[in-house]
Amino acid sequence: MDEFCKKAIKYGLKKKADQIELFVLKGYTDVVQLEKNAIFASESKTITGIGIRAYTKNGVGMATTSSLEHSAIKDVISKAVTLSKLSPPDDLFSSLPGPYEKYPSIDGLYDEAITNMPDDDLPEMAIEAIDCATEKHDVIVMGNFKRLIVTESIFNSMGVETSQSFSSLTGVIFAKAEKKDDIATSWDYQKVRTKDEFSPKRIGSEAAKNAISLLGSKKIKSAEIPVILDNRSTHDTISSIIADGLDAYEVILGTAYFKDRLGEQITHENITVKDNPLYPSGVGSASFDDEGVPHKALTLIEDGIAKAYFSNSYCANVLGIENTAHAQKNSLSSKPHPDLTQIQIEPGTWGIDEMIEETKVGLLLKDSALEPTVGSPNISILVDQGFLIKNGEISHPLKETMVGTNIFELLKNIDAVSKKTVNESGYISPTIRVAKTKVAGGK
Amino acid sequence: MIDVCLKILNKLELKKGDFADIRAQKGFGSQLAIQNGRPEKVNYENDEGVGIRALIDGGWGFVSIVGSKPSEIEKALQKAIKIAKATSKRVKERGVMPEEFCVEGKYVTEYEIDPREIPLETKFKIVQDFERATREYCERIVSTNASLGHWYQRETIVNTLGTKVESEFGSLNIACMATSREGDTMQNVYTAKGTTSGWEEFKKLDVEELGRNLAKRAVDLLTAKKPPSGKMDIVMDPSLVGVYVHESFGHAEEADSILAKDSILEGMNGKKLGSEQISIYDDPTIPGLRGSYCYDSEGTKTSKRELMKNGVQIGYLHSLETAEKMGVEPNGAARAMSFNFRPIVRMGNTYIDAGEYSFEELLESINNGIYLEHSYGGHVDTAKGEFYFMAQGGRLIKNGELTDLIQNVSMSGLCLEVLDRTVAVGKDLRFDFPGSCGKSSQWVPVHAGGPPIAVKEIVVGGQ
Repeated sequence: MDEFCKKAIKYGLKKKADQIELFVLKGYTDVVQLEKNAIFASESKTITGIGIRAYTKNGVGMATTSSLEHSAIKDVISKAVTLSKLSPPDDLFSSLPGPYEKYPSIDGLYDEAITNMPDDDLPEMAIEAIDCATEKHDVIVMGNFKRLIVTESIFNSMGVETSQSFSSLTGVIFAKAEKKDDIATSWDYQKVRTKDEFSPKRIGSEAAKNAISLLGSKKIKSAEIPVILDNRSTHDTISSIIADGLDAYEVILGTAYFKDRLGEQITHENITVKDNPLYPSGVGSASFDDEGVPHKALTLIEDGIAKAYFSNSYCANVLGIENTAHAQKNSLSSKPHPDLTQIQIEPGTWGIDEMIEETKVGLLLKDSALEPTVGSPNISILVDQGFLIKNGEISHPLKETMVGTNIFELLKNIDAVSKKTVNESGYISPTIRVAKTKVAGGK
Repeated sequence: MIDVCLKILNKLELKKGDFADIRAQKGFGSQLAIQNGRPEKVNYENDEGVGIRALIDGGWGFVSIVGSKPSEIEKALQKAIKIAKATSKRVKERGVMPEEFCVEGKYVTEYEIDPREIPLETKFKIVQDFERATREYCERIVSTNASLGHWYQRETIVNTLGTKVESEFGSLNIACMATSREGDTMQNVYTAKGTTSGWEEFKKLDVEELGRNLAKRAVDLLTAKKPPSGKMDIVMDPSLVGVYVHESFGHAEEADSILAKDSILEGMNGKKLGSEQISIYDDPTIPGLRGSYCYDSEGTKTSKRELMKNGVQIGYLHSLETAEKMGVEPNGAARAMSFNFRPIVRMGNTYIDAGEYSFEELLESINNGIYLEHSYGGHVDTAKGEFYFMAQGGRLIKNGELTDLIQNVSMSGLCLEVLDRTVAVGKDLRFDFPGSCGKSSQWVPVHAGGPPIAVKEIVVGGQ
């Protein structure tokens, strides 16, 4: 396949493309589907495809096919080159990246124990999760367990020729608890790169425990109160803000929240955020980005100060900054724009109990991110899993409760960061508290 | 292709109650997008593969392969049977399919102007004109992205009940996004048109006018008031009504959720859940809408589905299996995103039927509250019956009249409470929400709409 890809690059250049890139995916996934506390279907899917990106006189053409047959690949190369000649030029484009001599080696991204798992293992893991969810709690669960094995290869006419393989196990359990007319739902999930780390028991029992804890939810009155975000809520909230705030492509478009603000204090001095794709066994780890550029760790916020934009080859060339190797393709047919890999947030100085105890009236959010609305710094979000805190104690779960703020206010109002962090396969985050937040209640 | 699939299927010897089907797809399309005056997508895509299901001893197996080589399809069918057998040993509730339900048919979309015959240059021009008109409206428009997508596919579905269906259909969509900015204030607006008809639908569009109007909306919202926070009365435009009915009611009507005990509407058939003014339908047979189709992904001919009549819940959306389990006729609602996915129960074109109120009367029925317009989408927890949806902006309603502009905001409610709080339904039914609906990692094209409606006591998550 590698030899053919190199020939394919030459074929594209012979068709008079100035530059050309091949992105090849080859793998498979097995899925066990769960419904009503039992397995109900098993699936096995092929994951293959090739995406071509060709440039001619700064015009870009892309073509994809799910087939890896040589004739199909030659056909899509011709199509991509033809399209690049019809495309209006992108005057900001200068070159694809490469070549690179060395790539970082990261342990634990591919585990043969996952590849070699006997056919029965995945269904048995799913059943173990169901059993753990239902043995102590009266819940109905659904969800899925998945094994994925994939190899990603990138070749371009600048000399990039690289390949990496990944394995993963993912389990998701949704649990529903019922008590008369009261219904509560929750979930838990885990994604890992190595089999030893996988804990179906934890997924099942946590999902059930979470659902039971949300029974008895009540509406509250609207108020302006502190909101405590648990580690998952913190991780997803901060990631979503940085994803739009420090993205070099958004800087070029003029939509980055923190355009021209590098070096400025944008949040609490205890907030330090790194993007680290080199973390061993991390589910966001990889040796290179989706243009074949070697990965490295990057500090984005240090002591509350915005430190860097994350970029790809295009943005680095346009803005005259370092290529931080954050190119990511959403699909085979998409351009590789900058995106985050694996956010890790440093611990602070607070105890989580201490944060709750200090709160007279406030909210505790569990796995409920406060993400901004598309293309706007405004945040207007339904609380999926939340609790009212009253006089320093968790009082009751919530329903019909929304949080309304914006990212600048939210960052400015962070006033506590926990010393305890949770590491979920490379994603690391503490709990934080946001003082004074608008909460809309259904009461 | 149908002969190849039938030959493979006919070799099978299955016991009574067992089932298998083969769904072969071959499609191609293009995506063009211009962002801030530069090419963002200039894409050709093609996709060919086969999805195979087997139901053996009550257990389901599904296998998908890329390509359509007969030997590979045969191997995949054997693998589907093998994993179905393994699954059957672990199921608690056996999967079932009808013993007799067979469809034979052929459908080829007829176009006035076939989008496949439109030169790429013409398609580029419409995208470039749309994006340029939006971007050049004024300097406060900092980002624009206009796109045009076209997809066409052939699909062959055969099964062991005797179904033989071949269809050819396509879709077209055009959209533009604009972001305005002044300091830290940013507003993002979006407009889209989608159709399963031909190029004639896009030929009549004045994209420059659409672009200027879009940009004006984005710029006007920069100086709009912050949205209010709390429980309040609202009037929604047809695009929001579309998302509201899709999220608050449509998903809970999907019979696979009912059977999985994952829907708040379980056991509600025949019960009065909403105001008498509300009648809700899902109708994939309406020509040209984005959620329109002739045969679903199991080969069942689709039909107009009456879901709520004058506030009373009266029907569900079904696949072959859910219809068999609930003892009703299948109504063609099993859809798969591609050959790589199993068909699951989905909506097509969902809407609230027109009522009697003029727009002015709707505002008067609320008197004080907010008018919300231009949807961004939403989501629902069908088990709990709690939904959430987003508006790109709106206006305050004071003394029954529209007043100040407000910025983007989201709303939430509880399905069973909110349907009953719909106090007035407008006259002007429009399908203003051409979207994509996500469920179990599968995205399918849908359309939704309705007339504007007035609803009491919705929670608005403003600032």
